Amino acid sequence: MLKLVYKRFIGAMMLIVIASVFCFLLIAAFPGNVALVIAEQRSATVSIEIVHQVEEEYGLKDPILVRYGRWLGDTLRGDLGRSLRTGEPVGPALLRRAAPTFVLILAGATVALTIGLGFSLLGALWPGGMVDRGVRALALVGASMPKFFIAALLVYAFGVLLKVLPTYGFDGPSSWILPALAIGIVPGALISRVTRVALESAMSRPYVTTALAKGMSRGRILVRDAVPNVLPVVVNAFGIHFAFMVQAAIVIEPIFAWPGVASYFVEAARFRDYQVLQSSLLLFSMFFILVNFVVDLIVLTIDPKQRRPRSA
Amino acid sequence: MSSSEALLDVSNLDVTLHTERATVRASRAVTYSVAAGRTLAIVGESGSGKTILNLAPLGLLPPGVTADITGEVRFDGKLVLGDGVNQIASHRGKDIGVIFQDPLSALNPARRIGSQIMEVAEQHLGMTARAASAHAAELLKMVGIPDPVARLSQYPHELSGGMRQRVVIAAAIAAEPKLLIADEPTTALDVTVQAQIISLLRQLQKRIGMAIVLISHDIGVVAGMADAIAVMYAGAIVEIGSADDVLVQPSHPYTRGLLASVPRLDTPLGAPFRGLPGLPPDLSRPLKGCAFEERCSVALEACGSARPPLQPVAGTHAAACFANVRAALAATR
Amino acid sequence: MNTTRRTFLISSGLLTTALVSGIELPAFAAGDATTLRIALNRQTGNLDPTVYKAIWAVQSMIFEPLVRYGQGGKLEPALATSWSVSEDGKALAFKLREGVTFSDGTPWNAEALKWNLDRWIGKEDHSWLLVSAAYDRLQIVGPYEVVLHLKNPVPSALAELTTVRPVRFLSPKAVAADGTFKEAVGTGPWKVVRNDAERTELVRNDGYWGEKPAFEAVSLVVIPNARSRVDALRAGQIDITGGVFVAALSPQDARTLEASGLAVETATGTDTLVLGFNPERPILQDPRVREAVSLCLDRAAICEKLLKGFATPTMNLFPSVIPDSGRRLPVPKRDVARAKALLEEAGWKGAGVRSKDGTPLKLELVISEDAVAGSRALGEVIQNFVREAGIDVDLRLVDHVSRHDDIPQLKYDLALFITAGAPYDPHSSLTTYFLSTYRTGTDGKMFMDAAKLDPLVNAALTATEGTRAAAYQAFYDWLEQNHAIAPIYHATRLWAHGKRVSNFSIPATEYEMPHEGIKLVAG
Repeated sequence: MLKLVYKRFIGAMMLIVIASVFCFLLIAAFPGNVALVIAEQRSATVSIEIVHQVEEEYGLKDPILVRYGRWLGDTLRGDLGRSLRTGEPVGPALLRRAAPTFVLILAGATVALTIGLGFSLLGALWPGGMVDRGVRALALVGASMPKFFIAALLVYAFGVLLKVLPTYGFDGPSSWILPALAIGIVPGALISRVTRVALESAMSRPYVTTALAKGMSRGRILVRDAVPNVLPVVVNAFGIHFAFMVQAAIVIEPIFAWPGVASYFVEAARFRDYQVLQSSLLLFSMFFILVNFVVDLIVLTIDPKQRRPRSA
Repeated sequence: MSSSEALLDVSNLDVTLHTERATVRASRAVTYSVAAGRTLAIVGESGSGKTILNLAPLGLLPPGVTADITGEVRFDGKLVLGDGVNQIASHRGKDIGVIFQDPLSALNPARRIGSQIMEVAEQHLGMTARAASAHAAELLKMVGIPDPVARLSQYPHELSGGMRQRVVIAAAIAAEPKLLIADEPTTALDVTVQAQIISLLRQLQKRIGMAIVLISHDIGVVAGMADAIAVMYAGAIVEIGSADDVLVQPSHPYTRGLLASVPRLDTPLGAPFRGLPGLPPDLSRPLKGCAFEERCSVALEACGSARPPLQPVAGTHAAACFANVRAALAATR
Repeated sequence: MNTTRRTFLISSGLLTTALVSGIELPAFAAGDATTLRIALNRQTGNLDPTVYKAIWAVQSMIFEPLVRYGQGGKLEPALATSWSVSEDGKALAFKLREGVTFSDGTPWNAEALKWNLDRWIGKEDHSWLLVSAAYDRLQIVGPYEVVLHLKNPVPSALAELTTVRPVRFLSPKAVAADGTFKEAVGTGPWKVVRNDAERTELVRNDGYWGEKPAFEAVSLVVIPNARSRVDALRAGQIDITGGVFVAALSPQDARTLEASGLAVETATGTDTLVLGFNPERPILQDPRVREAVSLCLDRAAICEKLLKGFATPTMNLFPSVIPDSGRRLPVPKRDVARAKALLEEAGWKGAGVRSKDGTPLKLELVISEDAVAGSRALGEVIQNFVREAGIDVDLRLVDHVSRHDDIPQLKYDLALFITAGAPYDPHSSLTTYFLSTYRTGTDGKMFMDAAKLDPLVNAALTATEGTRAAAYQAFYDWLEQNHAIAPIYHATRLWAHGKRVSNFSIPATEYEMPHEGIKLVAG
């Protein structure tokens, strides 16, 4: 078990190194002259001389390997450079902006998990019933709706029509609700579909007959017998959607004007702010890899056969 | 054979199963009873309806299958099925324990053994988790599992097949049921383990005083344990009587065939019946005559057109065979 | 293991509880009567007036110029109460307003003015301002009297001094010991109390010399998504949105807001969308081809359909609100027959795509949504309009940065340009887009002709008061006669506000924020 964990850890570390190369190359290989972007902020109208001066200053004409080495060294030392657009240091900005994104993803994950587990359990409790069929239909509709559309619907309903929830901003729990729903509904619907199928298959296993013979109620069997068996499926599905929430945040954060890492990234992408882009992309990849690593660990620990092999 | 002291009294039980594809008459007009502390073995080939007969009234059918059940079942002197009543399910786990064929699939792989036994005691005996845990350890000890406390926190995959079946038994008897239904409890096990399990069941029966309905395709397995034997073929009882009567003086050609096919030591493990040619009839189609006619070596002309009823041979011993009844009548004359 | 699973369950349960219990539904949608809420499309950024980063309109609420650019380009006193330009145009004398202090208490006087000028004037980075390029010296006549001496006359000097950066005045105390910018302290009606990724908050400067605002605070909230700004306004969670550089309102959104009963305020645009021809392309050097392209365009339809009526068709380089913008030209009806005739005459013949000496009449139009919003749709419309006359236009979509690479290097046949608008025009667009001797790193040329056009441009730029209008007209006439450019429309300036706001007026330029004179009620 420990050996397996160790192997997965090494794998994750290697992925991060590869990701760093990609993050750098992807941004560095963008078309367009970065020097122009920088020069634009020194003067309202940019002369060619200023552009050359900027290229010199930032070492933009150096070979790409030299630039990667310089960037990696700075990054490892914790120096993420300064935003080309706003001039603020990227490291502290990312750190400050991590909080809203963290809240968004966590609240979204809570919504996704609540919907995913709640609906699938309700459906499995009364298979083929009204709730089950309704939830299945909803899950299908929910899963096929783009997130920005869900966000627009939510904003329209709760902000414009009912005027009960804020439509933008990161201003305490009431402002978290709509973004959390917008980011969590689709993964929730998808998780509920996967879980529902897994629960159905678990509920037709012989151990369920045994539990019935022992006089257990259907609800209790669902929770105590079926759920532990579908947990790896749920965790895997949840893990995937959790990791992809970073991607969804890129859509959701600007809609709700959240000052998070994702909107920082979007803004930076528009202005080719490559210092910000490289660092935030690396942060996203690290988050992605970390989530996958943690999911692997959890699946390892919740499956007794993996956790405690018979020979041990 | 029905008597006032019977713990379980089944009469005229008909079970018709409905699946999405077909409707099967799994048992017809089945009547039997078991007294407290005694063992009735129900023997028959796979598909003879012996398992359905017992599990359908308990509501333990596979998912997607529904059943029409008619007839009467009395349990412990009370009408629990028939006349608009269907309460057997409420006795599950408490008064009626069930042991299944495959101990590996019958146990939940994701749960510890302890909790799978404990929940029965918590549910039916109202025990606290702590008391139930002690009780479970005791049960494990009772079913012959060494180091029971340590076992409680283990998972099914960490145990051998025989051990698992002992765990299943422990869970089935955790609430000290009055009746234990054992559905092929040894089929999935090694021959040596089979004998151990049978002997364990006998010990437990003595200790708890429960009645056992032992369902098996192997007349050899039940021979040493049953007080009475019912032989089922194609959904109906073809012979019933005390173990001595049925084993020593089998009166139905099918019973005779079963006895002749008892595997010997050199037969491969888990092999199906030997010595009985042919296959049992398709229960989803209506039958005119005796269901066994096609495979019967002593079939008469009448066997093809009418169904032989269950008729007494001697005392409580009865068989459903025209040929045999004639032979018996001839013998008494 | 059991404990980890339980911990996980418990903590997620707690989180849910925390989320649910934290939900209160205050009346946040209603604003109080003391704070005006305006949407920004991005973070304001570094407010240092000598750095080209912040949103102009936010800086303009804090920092003031010597002279203000009023409606129609009329110069109004601000930190200078009066001014005069010498006969030779090389000396600008200013009388400074007395009794003004920066909001940190530092007095405004000739010394503060000199300190500010020293930060930028005459420096390479700011030489795009003609007044900076021509700067000679500053003469301090008295504590409230200065004269700015220039090496050569700059007729646009006063207009340049109305702009936001780098010319506006920062408190000399608002910098660190090494002279680097520390905080945004100006003489304007507003003081900054917060400036970050989420919002910029301003409170009223109670020591302001001019008319004090009727409300106490302005909250500028960052909402990057246009759709979200519209929703926030409809939900009553912001009061004002709009402005090209603040939080542009698309014509479609403006119509949506109108339909939902919100006030949409409009003003004639100060800029012009122009289809420019690369003067180095042989095909386009023939004025008949340029005229044909221009004749193919149905300007009225573009304004009506694409801009939902929020634009005025034009043939002029500048709208009439720009000073010295010249005689109004009639906007011709679309005339494909005439365009075809012109092309025939120019030797471009054949069915389908025309050709001449084996060269097909194919042109490439560079489009950048970042530079000109809505230009992709416009490009497609232009493509269809000219196809009828046998001209094949290819669209090349590029992003902001690529446009800045390609356009200055003249890597295009056709491109869309927007003139600089008030307060920079007319002088700024003339310099940037027409003067062949002035090359920038970011902007291309609408048209160039070193021999014939440059003298006209220079004459207009250096003409003195009396001859200026005629000099500009000569330039405009040349453009018209040579069909040098194809102006299309002046986009209407759009702002929308909620019901809490009354007495709203659109400021003279897109570089300023509407706040003056606004009355606010609770709601």
